[in-house]
Amino acid sequence: MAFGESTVNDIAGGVSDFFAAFGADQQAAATGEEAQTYGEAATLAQQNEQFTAQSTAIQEAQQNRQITQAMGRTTAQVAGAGFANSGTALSLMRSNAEQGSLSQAVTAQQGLMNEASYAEQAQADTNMQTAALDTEAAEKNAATGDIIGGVLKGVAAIASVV
Amino acid sequence: MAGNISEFNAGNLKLQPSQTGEESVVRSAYRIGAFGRQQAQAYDTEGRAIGGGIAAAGQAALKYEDHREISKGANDGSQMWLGLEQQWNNTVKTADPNDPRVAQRFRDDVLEPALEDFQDGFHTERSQEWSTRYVEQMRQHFFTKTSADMSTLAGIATHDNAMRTANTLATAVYADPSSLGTAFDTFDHSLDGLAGSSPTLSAADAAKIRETFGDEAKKQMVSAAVHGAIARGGDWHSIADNPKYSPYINAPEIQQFARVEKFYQRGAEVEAKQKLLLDKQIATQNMHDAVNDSWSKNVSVDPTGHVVIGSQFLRDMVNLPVAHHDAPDAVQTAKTYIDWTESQQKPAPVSDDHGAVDGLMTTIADPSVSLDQAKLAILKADTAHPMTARTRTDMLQLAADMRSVNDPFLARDMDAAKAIVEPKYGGQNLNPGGFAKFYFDFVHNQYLPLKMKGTLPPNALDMDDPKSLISQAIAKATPTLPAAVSANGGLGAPVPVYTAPKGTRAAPAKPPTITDKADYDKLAPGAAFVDQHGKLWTKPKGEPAGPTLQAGQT
Repeated sequence: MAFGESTVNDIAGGVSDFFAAFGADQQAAATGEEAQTYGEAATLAQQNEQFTAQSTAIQEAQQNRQITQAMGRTTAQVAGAGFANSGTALSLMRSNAEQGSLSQAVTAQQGLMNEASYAEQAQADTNMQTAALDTEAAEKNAATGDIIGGVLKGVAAIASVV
Repeated sequence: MAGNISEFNAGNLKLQPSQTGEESVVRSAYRIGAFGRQQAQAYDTEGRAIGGGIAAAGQAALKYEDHREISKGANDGSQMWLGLEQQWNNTVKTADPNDPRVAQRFRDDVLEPALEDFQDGFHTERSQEWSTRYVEQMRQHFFTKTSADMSTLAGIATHDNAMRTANTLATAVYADPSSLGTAFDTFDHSLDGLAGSSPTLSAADAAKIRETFGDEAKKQMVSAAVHGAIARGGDWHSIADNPKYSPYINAPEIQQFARVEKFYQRGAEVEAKQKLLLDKQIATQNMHDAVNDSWSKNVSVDPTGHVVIGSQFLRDMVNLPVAHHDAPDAVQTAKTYIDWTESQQKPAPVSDDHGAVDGLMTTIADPSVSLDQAKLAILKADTAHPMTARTRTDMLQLAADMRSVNDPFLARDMDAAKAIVEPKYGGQNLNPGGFAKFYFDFVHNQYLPLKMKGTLPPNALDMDDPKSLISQAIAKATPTLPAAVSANGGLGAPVPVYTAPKGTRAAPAKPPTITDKADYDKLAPGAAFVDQHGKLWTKPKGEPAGPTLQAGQT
């Protein structure tokens, strides 16, 4: 077995491939994290869907109320002419309470949703920061590798002259 | 009265879901996703940057390691190459050139393991590719080299084997020139077998050997056959003119053969003469051996000094010319001994004829005269002028001693000593017989014993040194005045008229000491001289030969 150019090239190629493998591994990890993050985005989208469904339900309820209210006003207008409705005050109060609670709940929910979205944004930014830092380290290693490679080539050049 | 109750109407209540959170969450999801992608992009960019740096550094390190391994590999590879070359060379030196497994064994057991070890040292792709090419080059090189070397060795081995065969056949045809045709056929068959059967010899090398060495060997055989015919006095022209063999002889060789033939003819004549001379020398030596044998068995000296000669000695001498008829001097030698034997029948003389004895000294001291010849001369002198037994015995011993001395200085000094030991006055010898006694005593009792022991002083023969051996011996032998007077008849004897001595021999001049070329050039040819180290030399009589160290000098 002779030590020749192929041997040197194989060693160099092996080192290069090792680093490439490490890089591919890092890329795979990043891709995995990307996928996971997309999954989180999907989850968030699903949550938003649910929120939208909730919102739709609320809106439908409000529409129904409005319809009901419209019917009631008519009724009230009729009753105003002399009809007593003992239940109207309580219903109004109850309706006001419901509306109030609903409004508060919706407001709170909206707040939480906004808060969560910003928290998610912050987390996403943090994740990007982490990924960027990792990339910075990798690129610093690449620079070191360039230096090492440059030194080795420089030594080789000197050796060839001497 | 219900008419006065106010009605509270909450109005059109509805919940207004906020889109803020959802929209923020959606935006954050979007942004988180975007940030995730941005982070992934950043990590990806970081990874690319680091990966790019690692790649650059890795490439630089890889290049450095490539260069380091290749540089080291180049050095190690060259040393490994050198080591393998040396190992192969050592293997080849002792390898059987006809073994086909030598090269393969080397490649399997030495080369491949070394190459494998070499390649194990490279770890990068590029350096491994480089080492693979390098190893392949080495493998190719050694495959070619080992195969070529083994083929070359096989070629050399085949050549050597064929040469031995050719030499053997050449020896055979020299002994029997008529077998030349058979030798040709035998050689062709042998060479085909050697070249064709070698498992490591390449086809090209085999063909080359057949072509070049075949002719060379046949040429050698033809030459041997011709020389053999010449040596035996046979007809070498029949070989040289034969169309089958004439292509292997050129014109200069024909002339050379003719000269060799003449040389052999002259050589045969000289050999015959030398044989004749040698036969005579052998016969003469055998004759002298027979004489000496008979002498030792039949001749003795009794206590009174009288020579006792057995009758067998005379019979042996009479029979000598017959028994040794091929000795040229057999008759003369036999006559000498017979005459001497007859002379011994006369009464022994009481004194010697000093002149005769003195005349013998030259012969006795001459190293070119053999002992047997010196002995004959002594006996002839004894026959003509009888000596005392003592003198004869001493002379015979002296002759034997002088053949052991071999010192030219001694002969020269003896000539000088004679004038001192036997001075003459008015032609009258003042010490007759003194020189012979002195000669025998000095050589036999003083000089030779010390020389045999190896304790002879270096100045033994220096007559200028009064303390030398010879000077002291001369001093003892020199007659005193009373002795000289007594030897010449005593007081009152007539004194001869003094006459100037003729040609008085003066003591030989001491050889000059020569230290430079100018003095050397002034010397006469044949003159003796002494160098600065005291060694005695003789200038040659003919230039440009150099001076020769005299005998006894080192």
